[in-house]
Amino acid sequence: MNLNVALLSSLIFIFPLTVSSSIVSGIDHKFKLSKLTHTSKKIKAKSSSVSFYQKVLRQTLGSNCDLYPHDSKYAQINFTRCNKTKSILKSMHRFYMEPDASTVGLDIILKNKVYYVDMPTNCNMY
Amino acid sequence: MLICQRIVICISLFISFSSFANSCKDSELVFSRGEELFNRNQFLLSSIHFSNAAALACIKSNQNKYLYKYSLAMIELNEVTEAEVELSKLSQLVNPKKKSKINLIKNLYLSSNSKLSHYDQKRFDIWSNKNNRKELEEMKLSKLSISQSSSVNNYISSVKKLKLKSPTLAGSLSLIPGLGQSYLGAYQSAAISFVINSLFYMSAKDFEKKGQYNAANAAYLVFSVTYVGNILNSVNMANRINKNKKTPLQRELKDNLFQDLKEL
Repeated sequence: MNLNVALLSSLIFIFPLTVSSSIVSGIDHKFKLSKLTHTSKKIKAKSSSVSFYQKVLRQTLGSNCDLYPHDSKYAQINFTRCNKTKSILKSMHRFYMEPDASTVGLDIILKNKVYYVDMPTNCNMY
Repeated sequence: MLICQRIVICISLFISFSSFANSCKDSELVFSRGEELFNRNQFLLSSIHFSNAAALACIKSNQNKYLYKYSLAMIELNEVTEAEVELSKLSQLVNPKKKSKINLIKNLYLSSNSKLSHYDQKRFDIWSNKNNRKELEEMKLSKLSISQSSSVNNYISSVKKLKLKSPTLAGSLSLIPGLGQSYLGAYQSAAISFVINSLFYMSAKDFEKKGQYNAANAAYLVFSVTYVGNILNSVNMANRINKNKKTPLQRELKDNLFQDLKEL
């Protein structure tokens, strides 16, 4: 146990977290997101599997996502704008990023709790 | 009778003048509130204020000034079409000096190709090459003011000093799931990536051993997604970390280079 703690603290010492986030407007981002989803709806139909997750699974299992928009919404927007492979891979990337959103230094919305902003702006892979 | 008529005319003139003055005062108040919101990065709310101020404005130059700020707020909200419409309207109403400002804004934010003066073109080129340090170092800063050229030099030296992460290295390290994320300091992501990838890989191997080839193929398929996603994640995170480290420096450079674009 002590060895693990020592290893972890030495890792943090070697790789200090230097990136800081900035606080942004929740009103603006809600506006941007509503525009994104509104436009996306007009382009194509939604992904049925993601809708199933949103309507059934998330209600049952609950969700504790710190990112804005939530992963499922992000995936849904991607599915309407990019091809399937790109959408799946981008959603996977986002899932991995979630626990370390603060390390990446994403913008923050303060609304009861801290939300890290990551909008699906384009279909580029990197 | 004539005196009465004149008195009525005078009173109505006075009322209309005072309401006109009030409207002017209101527009200034609404505008200053809008500016306050804009400086606090509340762009949607500020755009409403600027629009209202423009509607209430009684002097044409003030109206143009408010609409210009409205366009800036629209740009911040990624409402480029709206901003372009408004700026195009404005460019027909203002003098050539202000028109060149609008052209520069259009080139900067709306991917327009308007013709710029030498000075504006120089500033635009510097800003376009902000991520290309070598190109920036080779540029001649002769047309810029002393403060502007010193801010460009400061930016170059500050970017040199930044300890940026290498996306290539992060991606290469991610061939072993989680190692790339560890290099970036994202230990939780690293742990999740390692666990998920090993889980699917081991289960695929296990199914294969037991001769359950369909299940093994399915597990391999999921593994391929999680594996590629893991590499993509570390490359993307490295890029984001680098971008976020550069952002404050770029904001400072932008403020110094384009100080005049804040107002029309």
